[in-house]
Amino acid sequence: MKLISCHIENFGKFHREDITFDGRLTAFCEGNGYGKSTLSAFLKAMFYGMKADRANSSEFTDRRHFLPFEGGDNYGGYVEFSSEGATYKIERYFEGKSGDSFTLYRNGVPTGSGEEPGVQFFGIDRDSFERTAYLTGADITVGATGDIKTKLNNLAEGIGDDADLTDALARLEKKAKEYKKSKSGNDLISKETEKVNRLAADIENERRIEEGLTEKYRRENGLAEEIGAAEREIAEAQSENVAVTNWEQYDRMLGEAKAAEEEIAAIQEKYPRGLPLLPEIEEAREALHRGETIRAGMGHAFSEEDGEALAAFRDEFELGVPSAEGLRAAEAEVSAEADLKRKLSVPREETERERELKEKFRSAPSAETVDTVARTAEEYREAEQRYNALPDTVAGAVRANTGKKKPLFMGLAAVSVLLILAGIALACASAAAGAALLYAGIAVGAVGLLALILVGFFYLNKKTEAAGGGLAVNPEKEDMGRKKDALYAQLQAILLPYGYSFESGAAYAVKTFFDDAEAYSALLREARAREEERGAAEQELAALRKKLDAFFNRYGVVDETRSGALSRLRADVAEYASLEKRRETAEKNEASDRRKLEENAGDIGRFCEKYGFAAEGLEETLRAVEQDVRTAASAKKTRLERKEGAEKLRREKGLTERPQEGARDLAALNARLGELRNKQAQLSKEIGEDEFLAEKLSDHERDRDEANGKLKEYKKTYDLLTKTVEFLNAADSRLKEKYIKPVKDKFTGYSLALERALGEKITVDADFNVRFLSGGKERDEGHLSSGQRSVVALCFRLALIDNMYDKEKPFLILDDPFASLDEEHFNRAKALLSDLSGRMQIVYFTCHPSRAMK
Amino acid sequence: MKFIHTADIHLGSALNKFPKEIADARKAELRDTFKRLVDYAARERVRAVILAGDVFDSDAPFKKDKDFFYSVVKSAPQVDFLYLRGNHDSASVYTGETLPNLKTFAETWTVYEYAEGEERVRIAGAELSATNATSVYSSLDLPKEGKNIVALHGQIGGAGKDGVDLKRLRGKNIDYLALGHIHRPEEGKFDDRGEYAYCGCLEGRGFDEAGEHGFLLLDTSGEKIARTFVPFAARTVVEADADITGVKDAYGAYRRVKELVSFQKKDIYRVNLVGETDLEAESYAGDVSQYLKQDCYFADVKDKTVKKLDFHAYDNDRSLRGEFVRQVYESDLTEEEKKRVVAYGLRALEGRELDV
Repeated sequence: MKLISCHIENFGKFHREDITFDGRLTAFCEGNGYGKSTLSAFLKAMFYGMKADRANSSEFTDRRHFLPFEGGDNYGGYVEFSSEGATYKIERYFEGKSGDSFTLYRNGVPTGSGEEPGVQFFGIDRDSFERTAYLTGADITVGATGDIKTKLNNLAEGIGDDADLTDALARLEKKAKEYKKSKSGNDLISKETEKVNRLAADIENERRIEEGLTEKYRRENGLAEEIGAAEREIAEAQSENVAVTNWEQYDRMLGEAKAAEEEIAAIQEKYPRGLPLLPEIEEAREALHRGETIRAGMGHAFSEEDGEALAAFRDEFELGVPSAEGLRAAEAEVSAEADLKRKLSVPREETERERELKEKFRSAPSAETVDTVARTAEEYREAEQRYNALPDTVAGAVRANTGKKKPLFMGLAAVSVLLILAGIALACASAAAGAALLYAGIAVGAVGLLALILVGFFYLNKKTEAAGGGLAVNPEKEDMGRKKDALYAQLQAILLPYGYSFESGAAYAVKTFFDDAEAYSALLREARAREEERGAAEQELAALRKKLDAFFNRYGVVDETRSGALSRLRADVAEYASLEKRRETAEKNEASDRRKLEENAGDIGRFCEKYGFAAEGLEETLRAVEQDVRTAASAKKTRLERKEGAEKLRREKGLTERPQEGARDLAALNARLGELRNKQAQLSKEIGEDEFLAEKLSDHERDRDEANGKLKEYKKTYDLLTKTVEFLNAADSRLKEKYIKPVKDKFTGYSLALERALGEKITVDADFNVRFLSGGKERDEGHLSSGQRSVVALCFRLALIDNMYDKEKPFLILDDPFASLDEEHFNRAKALLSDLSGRMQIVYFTCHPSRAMK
Repeated sequence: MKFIHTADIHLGSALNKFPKEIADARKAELRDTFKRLVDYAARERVRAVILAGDVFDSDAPFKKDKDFFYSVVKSAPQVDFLYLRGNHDSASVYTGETLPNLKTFAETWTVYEYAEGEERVRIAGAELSATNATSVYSSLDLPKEGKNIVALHGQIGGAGKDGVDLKRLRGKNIDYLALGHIHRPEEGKFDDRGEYAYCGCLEGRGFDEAGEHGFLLLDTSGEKIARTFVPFAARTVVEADADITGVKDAYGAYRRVKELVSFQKKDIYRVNLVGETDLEAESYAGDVSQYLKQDCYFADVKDKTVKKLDFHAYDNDRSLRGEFVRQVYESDLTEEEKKRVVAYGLRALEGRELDV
């Protein structure tokens, strides 16, 4: 294939650019930024299209990279080339993120082919084309210790230098070991196998347990039946035992009836004349008792002692029996006597007020004294009123006042003297009249004396004042004052001895005196009244005593106490009446008793005759007979009851056939039932436990199936990983077989050009070890310079390309591949390139004029 | 009169298609649903509950399951339970209690009669076995008058003791054939007079028993026996596919599933992720299952997606990768194995972690 030309409508920086290609070597020597990469990419894009731009992808794809700088429509262009004698044109435009439309023309006619032209013509895909047909300096640079073979391999393998096949194989093998290790067993397959085995063992155990359940269910059923049978047997036994019990009861009843019969017969045998009836026995007994009673009564209705007692009472009450009314009156008098005694014996207690008054007044104040106090108090009140009403001072009335007042003072003095004399008189009279008068006399005398002193004091005082002259004390007031004071003194003289205080004033003292005097008088009156009363009571008591003594003495009743005497008297009266009555009655009853005794004896005799009893010891006989009668009656009753009871029992319980055997042992049956139930419970528990374990069977089966599934999957994965390794190795071998090995042959074609270029003869052995002949000796590639080795690597690459492209050889785009070569090697490479361009079209780019192809 | 037709309760079923904790909860729900059915029968004054087989899940049910059954039957003494053993509980060993309202059938026809006023209903049943599977039909003799219900357990058209021959039941004066054995409701007519129905199982016990479950309520008061399906299961089991082609991550897969499948919080789901996913994409089943926990009672998510891999895209890849893919493609591995090997190899070559 040969490129002819291309028209870049819009692609990267190119806009309507036309380029014509030389059939052998087209060289571009342009500066950086010319668009060498753009042109390379355009050519690739025309043959292979461009990868779509993926949403959310950050990859800087060619589509994005080479978006037209100037925008606009028609992102693309066309390329013309020749192949196998025909001229082709690929017209291709790109749109958006993935839009791509191309038309392949053959000799100007659209072919309608949808296959990528690159694949169609070169037989390789885009990546392979990229890897091979586009060469930069790095692609052919070989370091000093670099291995051409490695480079070749990598190129052939189509992988980068970083991640090679070895690494991939190691990764796969490491992964495979996770699934299966040769020794340790700590891998997925071993673990899962172990799990499967363990589950299998569990399943086996659980199956056995499950199988064993069938038998246990049978045993459970059997036990249930046995228990049912045992329960029925127990019910039957209970029923039988009930029947036995009923028959026993029936028999017992009949037995008791028979015993009663025998008892009756025995009793009847004892009484050949028959058994008396109970009423008859009772009558006979009563007759006996009656007789005894009568006899007892006859001698004892009124005894000798009774007669003596009656005589004594008659003596006692010779003067007459006290009537009930008399006794009641005596009782009342006894009570009155007691009351009076009690009353007279209790002393009267003085009140506090009485004691106070007695203290004050040894005797009652005389009427005179009271009058004097009243009058004096009144005068004092008037004097005080007048005194208070008068002014304290008057003008120029000093001397006259003294003269006017003089008679007053004289009068007061006279009164004082009189009081003194009155006091003396009273004191003298006290000897006859009592101490009270003495005290009164002393008091009056003291008052008189005090009054006299005061009169004298005031008189002298006024005289002194009168000698003063000018605006002076009111003489009338002075006189009144003196009068008032004298009256005051009088009152004090009377009342102070009684103990009355004048602290609250004369009026209060006087009032208190009057109140107390009245109270004291009342007190004295009451005392006198009580005295009189007491005297009357004593008299009455004396009279009562006398009366009562006479009363009781009449009957000769003597006792410590009146009530006792009265009680005795009453009792005697009653006893006397009773004895009298009894005596009368006894006399009346004696005849009747005799008659009754005869009748009674007759009854008893007939009774004994009838039944053949001896009259002697009849009481005892009657007791025995009664006992027998009762016993016989009871036995008859028992016989009847037992017979009827037995019949009823027989009817009710349906006692037709007597059981052959006795009562059954329920305890033993119940014990057996209990044992069965225990077994059942135990078995039930075992079944429960077994079912619990057996239930796990399905879970374990599921787990085992899952584990088996996993194991199978693990084994498969391991197998596939192992196969992957094999396939990769095989692919590698084949690849090398297909492409690398033949390189040696192809290389031969380049070796001549190399020899010319390098001046050395290059050889390569079966293992792709590069050697060269120098000085007649074969030397290792390591002896070549890096530049020489680069050139050798270039030729190997070209030889590889020759092998890789099945169909058309592509054009070769070299993007400054020789930048790192020195001058000498560049020239040799240039020569080589010129040589090579005869075999395939080369498009050469460089930005170094020194590296231009001239 | 009213009757209930139910069957295939499978008490004691292991329910091991669910994870253990779900299975344990469902076992309790299964028992509870049966108890609720009995309460319903008592409340609605149903005369009898026809148990058309497979009351228990095992030939030898556990004693505790039988004791539970007896206690529930005992709790409704006014309702008769007509117990026809099925293929799953035919060999029961533990006999348990004899209850007056628990009536059984045998290998020969047993008929129970119910009357109310003028109405007469007969319910006949026979337990199919190897020895009576073909002969049992000829001995069925039901009078023309009244209404006749026949209970059997087996597959219509099947053979042997698990087969019910509809043809041989024609013309036998049967008004209603109460069948058990098939776990989803089905019905049909088999002669001029008679109709048959499978009531289905009472609760879905696995993802193969998806859909609505309950029992049939029969009313014999009309001219014909009217039946009403009463949905009664505590939860519905649903299986659905969700195509997650084009989804790029687990949450995207979850959202796609939610768009395509309607979820009820109380129900159980099996969601099959189908469609194509990228070769290198990991399985979304685990994550989607986790996300769905908030939307339903339980979700089992299966990854049934197909990895996208066009082997021919590597035809022109002249690298080791291309060679490797071609080698795998040409091998005799299965399609799925090839895709897996290619996925492992490519990831390894790209230096990525191998999350297998």
